[in-house]
Amino acid sequence: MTVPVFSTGEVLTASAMNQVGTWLISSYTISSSPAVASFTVPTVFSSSYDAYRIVLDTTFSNSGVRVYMRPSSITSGYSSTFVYNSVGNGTPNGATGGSGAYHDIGLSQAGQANAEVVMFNVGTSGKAKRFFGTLTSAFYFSTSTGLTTGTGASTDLFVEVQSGTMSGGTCRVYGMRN
Amino acid sequence: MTRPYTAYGDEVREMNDEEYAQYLKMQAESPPPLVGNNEE
Repeated sequence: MTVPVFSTGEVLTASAMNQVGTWLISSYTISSSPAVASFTVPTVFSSSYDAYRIVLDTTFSNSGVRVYMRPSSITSGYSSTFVYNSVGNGTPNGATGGSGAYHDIGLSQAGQANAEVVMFNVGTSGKAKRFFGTLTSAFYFSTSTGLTTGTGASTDLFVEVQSGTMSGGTCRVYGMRN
Repeated sequence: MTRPYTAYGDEVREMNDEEYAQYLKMQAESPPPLVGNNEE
């Protein structure tokens, strides 16, 4: 057996599976009826992972919206330039995407020694997912209780759109196993 | 006016007072500066 390429008929042992680096932690289905302005993906962050990739694939009602993500337990003491990560999407609605579409990624620097790297993939309905660059900042992730900003810890991911709604699709969270 | 909806896991509901106040605050804030750009 040669990791990570397995052959047909091979028995996958625990030791082999433990070498798999990236796991799909959660594939969260976003409500479409009603569409939502925000949602929480429960139980995604844990000490089993060093970093995360978050893939948000939904249909936005408004163009040029920004999407904010933060640990769900942090409901005060933050600002948009401190905790939030943002994803601006020039033509976020799948119905209009593809014509001069562009994507900007804005990440506010966390600036803490224990900050990890969060990578976003953003896809919109009817469009291929794309990887957005080398993102070097993130939420405050701790390695013990999931994720903190100094005012609490959370295992949940909160996602909110600045205006309008998100409808349908998924928010997938992948973890880079430690 | 109907408040925006939010979801926790499978539970979908209107935002409560605290969530709605936070939502309005977020809307009023300037977004973080954008860095990086992927153009098609």
